[in-house]
Amino acid sequence: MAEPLPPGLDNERMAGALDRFRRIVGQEWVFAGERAASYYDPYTIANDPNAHKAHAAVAPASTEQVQELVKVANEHLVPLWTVSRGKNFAYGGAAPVLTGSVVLDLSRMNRIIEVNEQFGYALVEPGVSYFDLYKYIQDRGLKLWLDVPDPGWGSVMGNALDHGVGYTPYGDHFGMQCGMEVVLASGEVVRTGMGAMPGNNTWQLFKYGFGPYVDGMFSQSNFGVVTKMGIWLMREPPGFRPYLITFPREEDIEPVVEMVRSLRLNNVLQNAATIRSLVLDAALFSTKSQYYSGAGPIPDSVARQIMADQEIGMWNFCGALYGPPAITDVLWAATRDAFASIPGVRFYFPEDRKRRPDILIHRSDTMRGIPKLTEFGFLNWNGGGGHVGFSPVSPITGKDAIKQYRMVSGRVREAGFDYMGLMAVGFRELHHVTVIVYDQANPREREKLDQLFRLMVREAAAEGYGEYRTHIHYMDTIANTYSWNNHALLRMHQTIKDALDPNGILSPGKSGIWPKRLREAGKR
Amino acid sequence: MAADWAHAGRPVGVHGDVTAVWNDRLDRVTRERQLLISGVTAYSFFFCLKVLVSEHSALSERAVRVGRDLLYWTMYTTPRVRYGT
Repeated sequence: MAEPLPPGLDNERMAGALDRFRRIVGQEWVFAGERAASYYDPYTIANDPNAHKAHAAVAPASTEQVQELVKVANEHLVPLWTVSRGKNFAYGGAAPVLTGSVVLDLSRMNRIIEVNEQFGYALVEPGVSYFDLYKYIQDRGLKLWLDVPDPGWGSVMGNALDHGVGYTPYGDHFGMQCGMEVVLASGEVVRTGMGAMPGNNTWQLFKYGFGPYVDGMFSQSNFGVVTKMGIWLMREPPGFRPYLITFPREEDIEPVVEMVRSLRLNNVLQNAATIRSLVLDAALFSTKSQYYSGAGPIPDSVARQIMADQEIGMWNFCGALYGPPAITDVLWAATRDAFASIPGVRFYFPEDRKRRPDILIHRSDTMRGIPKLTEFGFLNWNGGGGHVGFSPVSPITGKDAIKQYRMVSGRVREAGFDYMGLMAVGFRELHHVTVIVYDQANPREREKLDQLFRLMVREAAAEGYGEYRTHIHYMDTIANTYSWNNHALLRMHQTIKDALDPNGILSPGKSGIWPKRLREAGKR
Repeated sequence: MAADWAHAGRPVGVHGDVTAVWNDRLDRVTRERQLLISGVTAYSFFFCLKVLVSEHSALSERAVRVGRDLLYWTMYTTPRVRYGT
């Protein structure tokens, strides 16, 4: 099957552009035909085989090559879909929103430019993975910790730019970003913050520089190609004490979240802790068929059996304490006392957990910044399938938590899936992330998932809950829920887009932002 | 596990996450030479290994389901030009 073309381009014009790309990056770094097959969404939701299919890919090795590529893309009106490493699998992988785009694959730009132990930061290129940066730090014996998301193969920069979260006190990844280098659609290179001053030595130390703070414009956006980024790293603490607190009933989520807010705002809870559901934790190390052979979601009796077998709860609160024992002892006492009144609560440290593999042993690694791939175990729950994340944000209140849980778990179970969710604790908000594992080989199941997802988006929006991040298939859908004052924010995004990228070549459709040239054709 | 890997052709027990097996030896070996790897594992192990190997090797693979939760798979890997400088 011929590779699809983007709107407005014919084969001749695209071939001409690819030839020019080859002259810039070298023959072997332009991928077309079969060689472009890896730039796909492994967990596609659409039943149209051409949906979100790339035409080709190009992999530059330097900022200068990115500059040259965007100049050619402007001449030929070729849409470039930028990926750092293309490993964002729950949200579309390396696949573009706009069918026929050329993927701008930055994974060859994988230099760790600096790791500064004195101040605790790294300056990296987009292709640097958490595995890479962790190894660099370990090999040199630096007293620094990463904050990692669940998949360790992801890009440090890409995850931060997509507002990804981790699990240490540095869990807000974009919050820990400091200083960027960006190639604009014109080909011009900009350094943000203090990096704009020649000879300045605080580019990775002070975010704001002078004048408007623009770094946020380049996150979840298509206003430029970020080619370098600073990220703050945590100093290795003098002590680390991970813990697991389990709760036996679904309705416990309400008082648990009330306690969590108080602990978080008082800085007793130091890290981006998570409250994880039974099936999400069970699915990491066991399969549904070990417990249940019926159709649809597991019944309550099976849930009780899993809880007993795996010593986990209906909700499992994984957190950690960081600091010298004199401090962590006090923080632990306050944490334990806060939850002690909930009937059936159980408290564990790693030494209390005898089963292997075990959820706390696994999460202990993650909460100290060790990159892994263990979380992909949940794909095995139904024998191996695709997954998509539904991720609305709410305040840290018990009322919101149980309302969201009932809304989402009700719809998910109604559609025949098990509820696999977690609530990640931010500074003032909860990210309620539900993964839906589905049979990706079954077109009817994909259609069912698509209907379910759109329904949940509508229902969440009607209650004022917005998603913080989404799959490429739903970017327009989510953008449309941020509609206050007749979509004023989206219209402002479009104005910026048209000013910075008048030919609309950079990642058309990212976060629902379409350039003028493709505003109608792209959405179709 | 390291001792097991010293004997090519012998099966290696794995549990869940591919990361340890990958870091232990497979990452290096698949960059250096062609390799035939087979396994009977859950889907996630196969998927993750496939993604990791694809970063620096051409890959041809086949997988057959041998039960509700298990796949029997083979991968034939050939090192590609190395990314990066």
